[in-house]
Amino acid sequence: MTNNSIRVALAGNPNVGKTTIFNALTGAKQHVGNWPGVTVEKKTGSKKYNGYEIQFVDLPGTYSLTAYSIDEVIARDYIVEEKPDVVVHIVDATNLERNLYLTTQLMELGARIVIALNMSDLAENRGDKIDTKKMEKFLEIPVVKTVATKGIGIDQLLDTVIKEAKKGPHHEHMIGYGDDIEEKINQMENILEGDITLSKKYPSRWLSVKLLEGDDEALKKIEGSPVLDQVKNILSTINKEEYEAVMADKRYEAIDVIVPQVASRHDEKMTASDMIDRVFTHKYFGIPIFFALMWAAFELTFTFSVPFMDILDSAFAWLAGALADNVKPDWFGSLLGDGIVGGVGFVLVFIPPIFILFLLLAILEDSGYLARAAFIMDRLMTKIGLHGRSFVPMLMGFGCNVPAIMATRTIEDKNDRLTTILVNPFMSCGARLPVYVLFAGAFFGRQAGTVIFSIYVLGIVAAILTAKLLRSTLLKGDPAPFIMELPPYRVPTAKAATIHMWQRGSMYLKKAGTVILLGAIMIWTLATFPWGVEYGSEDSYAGKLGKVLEPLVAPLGFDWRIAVALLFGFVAKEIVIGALGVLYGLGEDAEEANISDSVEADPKIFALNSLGLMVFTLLYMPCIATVGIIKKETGSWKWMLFAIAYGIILAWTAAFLIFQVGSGLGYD
Amino acid sequence: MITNKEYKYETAFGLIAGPLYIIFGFIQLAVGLGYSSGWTDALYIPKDIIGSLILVLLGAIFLYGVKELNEGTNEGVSFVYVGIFLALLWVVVYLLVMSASALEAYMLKSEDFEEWVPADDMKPGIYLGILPLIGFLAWRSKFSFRRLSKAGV
Repeated sequence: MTNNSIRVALAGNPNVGKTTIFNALTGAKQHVGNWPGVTVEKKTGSKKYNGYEIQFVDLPGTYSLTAYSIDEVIARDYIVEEKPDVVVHIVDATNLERNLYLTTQLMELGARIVIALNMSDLAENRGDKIDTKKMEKFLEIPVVKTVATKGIGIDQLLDTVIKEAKKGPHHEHMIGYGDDIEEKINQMENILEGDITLSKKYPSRWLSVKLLEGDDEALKKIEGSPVLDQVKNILSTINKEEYEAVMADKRYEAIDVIVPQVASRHDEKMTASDMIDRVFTHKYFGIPIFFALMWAAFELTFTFSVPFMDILDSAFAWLAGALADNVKPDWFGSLLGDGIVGGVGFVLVFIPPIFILFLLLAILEDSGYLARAAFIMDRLMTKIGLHGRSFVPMLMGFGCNVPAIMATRTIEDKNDRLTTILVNPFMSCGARLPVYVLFAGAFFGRQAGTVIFSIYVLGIVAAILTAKLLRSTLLKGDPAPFIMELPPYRVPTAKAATIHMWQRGSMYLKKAGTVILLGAIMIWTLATFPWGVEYGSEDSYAGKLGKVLEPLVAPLGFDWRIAVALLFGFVAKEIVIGALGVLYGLGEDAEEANISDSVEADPKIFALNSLGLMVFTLLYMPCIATVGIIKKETGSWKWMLFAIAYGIILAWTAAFLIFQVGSGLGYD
Repeated sequence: MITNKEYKYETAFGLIAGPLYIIFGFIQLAVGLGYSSGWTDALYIPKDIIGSLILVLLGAIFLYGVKELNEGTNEGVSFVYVGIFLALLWVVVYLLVMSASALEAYMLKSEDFEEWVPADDMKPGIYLGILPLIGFLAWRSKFSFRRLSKAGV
């Protein structure tokens, strides 16, 4: 603590309301960045309170402070090396045993801790009674009851933080590990204290415990130290795995002694969460319920968004026509009407389905259901050779593949992670939805919702089959075991769901004003020049480019316009729709100044090849941002090129089979 | 048929709702596959294969609950309560779909919906919902979400 400035770190297990407490503490004063050297999100914020400037850092959610994941290493390194004045440990009041395990590790770090006993209302509602005074006495840590979602206990938490920060440095609390291990810890501590620099930087007991547990990251911290050889000598005399297990047992023993004395538990009747889980995670019903819910989400996305899309569609069609007809000179009117409104405007028509889908996904996520989805898919994922944890980034891919691929960093096994990265582009991101909505709406009538759902399912199937192929050929190996905690079900709130929807959907709006705008202008230019040719005709540069590409896509039933749209879709998938809007010259023809009507009126597009186009758009090469993140995360040009080539080949083959087999069977 | 005394009403409910949903599910599946008749029209059965599979799924959930309850596993009542919740969820989904069609027909006067009447969107998934609605009203205390905390931002 310097002057009136206090540095506070927020630690806790995942899903204990840590972010909600962080938001309640900092309000709008937040900054989001990355932890140095990694792409794990780092949130910081500040608050002025009672004359103090309090700086908060939201540490990644972890169950312990071992070195098994990047999140754990980040959390503990921050506490050890940055030495915050206070660590607020957010504890889920409904699950004391598991949460207190992290408390024991924070205590060993010598951090000055304040416990925020969150979700205390939930614990009380189900009949739990927690004596915070006794808890403070046993742990020698102040405990504040909070209900973060209602802002209860936040001021008291801040008061306690200030009070604790004033107390200054703190000694570490000790957990006894039994005579044999304690003897080794003492030996190790004596050795480590021989290196003054090291013992000043790290609590020597904590470092001794970590070394004896076989913690590789801890060993790295003493590389170059004069005591390294002595440490290695001791480590060579013990079974580190056994030590780690015994020490974990001892921590739980301590917790088992404390918890019954501070908390009286509710009777063990089934809770609402238990009842829902019994059905939603059932071995036979779990997967059908998951698909049924996803179908409902897509059915609602399509049907409920159509009226709003019609309103926007008509408005942009009118605007495009008005600009093209009335703005002089003609070329400028055409640029505004055909190029910008035709391109960007008709991409914006698809805002309703994108926002509705993101709202529904946010509701499913906020309720705690998506965590169950990962759980129920684990068995299937394991069968195909993927890690159960892979399903979470795959689900995130429904929003955008870029953060989804970044989220694979939580997967430890290299081959598991590489496979998950390579199959992620098959999870259909929001940018591809407008293509499905346009063509399914135009050619599949009342079944459009089901067709769109089927496209998404096809994406999942393609990802699964590709994963199976990779895991049995190029990336062989057994998947690592998967342990995950199912958070309790929560009632989604309108505020939270709306914010989460906006966080994902606003990205689409930003792209409309930047990359899609540029793409639309570029395609308009190609469709307009050389001077004097009919706009968007085969004689324009776009037409010539399309004609060059047409032989490649003709076996799929696509014409040159679609070839051009797909080519530019590589920049961003939304441009496929924007390009079609421009190429159909929506501003010029008042009779068909509506993109759905235009594609319906085009005799070269019909149900069969539009289905092929939807499948092609789903599977073909990822957008440029996704390609970039694949290169960055795999660190390999080879895998990046593989992702592009594999996607194109798979997409072409699937669209070819749909068109040729369908035509052969007499469909159109 | 009903051996569980503690949850005899829930068991009876599952015994009625389960087969009913499954029967209507299979009828809808047959219509989805091409079968057509006056009586299926009268029952507002749509050509909707996925919807039919959802009806069968809901019926199976109710019947699984009955099986567990009759075997003496009281936790089986979860399947009845959650089945009711899911069946009502689908009623809401279908009503939202119907309201979107109404918006197209009556407010936007869309050409595709010129002859649309609410009966066009009627389906077993909606009218069978009367049963889970009765169940919900009868056991509404079990559906209290007060025990679940609210999702944070």
